Amino acid sequence: MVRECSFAVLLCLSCRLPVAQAQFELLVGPRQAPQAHSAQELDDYLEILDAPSDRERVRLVEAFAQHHRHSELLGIAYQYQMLAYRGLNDYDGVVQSGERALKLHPDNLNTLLILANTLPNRVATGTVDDPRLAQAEQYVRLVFEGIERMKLPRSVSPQRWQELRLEMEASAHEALGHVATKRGKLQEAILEFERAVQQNPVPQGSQFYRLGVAYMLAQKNDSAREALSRAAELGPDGIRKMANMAMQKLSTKPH
Amino acid sequence: MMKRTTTFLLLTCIRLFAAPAWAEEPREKENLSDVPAAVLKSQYLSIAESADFRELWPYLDAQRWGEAKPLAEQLVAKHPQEPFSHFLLGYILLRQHDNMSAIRSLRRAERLGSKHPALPKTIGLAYYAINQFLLFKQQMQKGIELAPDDPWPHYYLGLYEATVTENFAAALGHFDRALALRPDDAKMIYYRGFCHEMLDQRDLARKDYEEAIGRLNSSEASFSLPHQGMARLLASTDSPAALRHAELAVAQEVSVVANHSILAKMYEVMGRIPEAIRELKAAVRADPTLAAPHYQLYRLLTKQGEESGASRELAEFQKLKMLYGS
Repeated sequence: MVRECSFAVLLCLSCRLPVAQAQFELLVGPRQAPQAHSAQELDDYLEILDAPSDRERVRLVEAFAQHHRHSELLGIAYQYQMLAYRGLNDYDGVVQSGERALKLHPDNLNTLLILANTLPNRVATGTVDDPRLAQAEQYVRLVFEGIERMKLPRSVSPQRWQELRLEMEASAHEALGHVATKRGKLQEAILEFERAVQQNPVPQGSQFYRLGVAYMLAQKNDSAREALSRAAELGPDGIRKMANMAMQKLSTKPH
Repeated sequence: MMKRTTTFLLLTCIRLFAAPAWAEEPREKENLSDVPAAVLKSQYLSIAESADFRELWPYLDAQRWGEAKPLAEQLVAKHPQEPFSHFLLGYILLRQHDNMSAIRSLRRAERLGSKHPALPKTIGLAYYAINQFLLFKQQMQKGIELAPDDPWPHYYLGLYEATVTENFAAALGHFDRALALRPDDAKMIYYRGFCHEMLDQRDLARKDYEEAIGRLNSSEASFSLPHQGMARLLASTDSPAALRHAELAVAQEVSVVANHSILAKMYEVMGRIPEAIRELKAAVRADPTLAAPHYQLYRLLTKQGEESGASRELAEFQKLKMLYGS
């Protein structure tokens, strides 16, 4: 059996979210945009975006939070910090900065999805009642509700929204599959991962990898090979490596 | 060269700052106007005499920003302590809609001590482009202090109040101040009229729209909103005149959704349903996020007995209303 990969690698599996790349929140209209109150505050915020490394970005967000405690930009700054921690494979950092971001923007779908996909990582497989799993599920529920309630700025076309929505829903299903895997509910996990890969308009290697692992655990080796090979094809490198390792192990097993 | 530099900046400074943010709502889909001539006359620009600037100049003049940018970057590298080089680069970046980079360069110019009256206005518009309205307002106020005779900061503040906060009384004050400094500007006159219209001062609105149309006729500029405004004002009292204005509005600016909407409305009033449907379809093509034209199409197609088309439009209306709220 493929041991669920290390925490460090699992963090990299967390969803690829379009919203995360937006400098000023793609899904927020101009009238709702958080406002800097001084040019220096905005300069400091822009410095976060320019940070040459994830470690530096984490530091700059801390400095920003100290100097601009009441900044309306702080919630987004914490999102950047959360993403930087993810790049550093720092579970505690992702969770802490994600929760800080959520305190300021409780409905932020990007933060909710990243937390939902990250929280189960440290839970041992076979654990049923770890509160982190329930928390991840709660975040996914909030994502589905948030998607339904979303009021879009006109800069996002209906077609673009449809793509974003499908990507977010796929990521939410991935998180649910992850939770189910940890609880040892393999059939449920497979169902969720299948939903994720089927509906995502931008196929994600991570989702195929997780589906492949779930198939392996369920002894569905042919399906596992197929999903893992797709994961290896899609990458990125970390996923490719893990998918190839899993396929090697599979090669010793019967079809 | 100094004169040419000034001329360049007079002509181009902020001419195309049609920042996407201005275009969020249909009626905002028009470019911001030029920065006026006077703003750059005050400062001696030693850099303007340099060979680097002479090389850069033709690209600026031709608004070839892609080619101008590396030359401006060279200028910055050679004159890192010269605020104007940073200003130029920031300006070019803003014209390329690279707003964040523009802000960085413009702020460098500011930190290096530039007291150039165009700088606060330019930074202000860069802030506007990323929806940083508080900073935008601060910079425009600075611009007003530095150049009290400059109408443009008042104009931009007016546009902000009219389109973002929808505080039409405040907007009216800004447009009045802008027009006191530039009384012949058709766009400013139109926007003052628009504020009057929103404040239900229809006679004053009509007077401004007519004046704006008169001034545009003599300049042959393409700016459809005064005709659109007239069509709105006359829609309930003088349909043929309203129709004429609506047709002129569409002819002048076919990409403005509201022009098609008002023309469709007038065609419907005149019983010309197929033409109304054609205009509503044009509105939908111009802005696929708007729900209202789909509802109008649903109504008209139902009238025409085209039930399946009508129900498609109703479904689209409901979907878009849910997504965008209107």
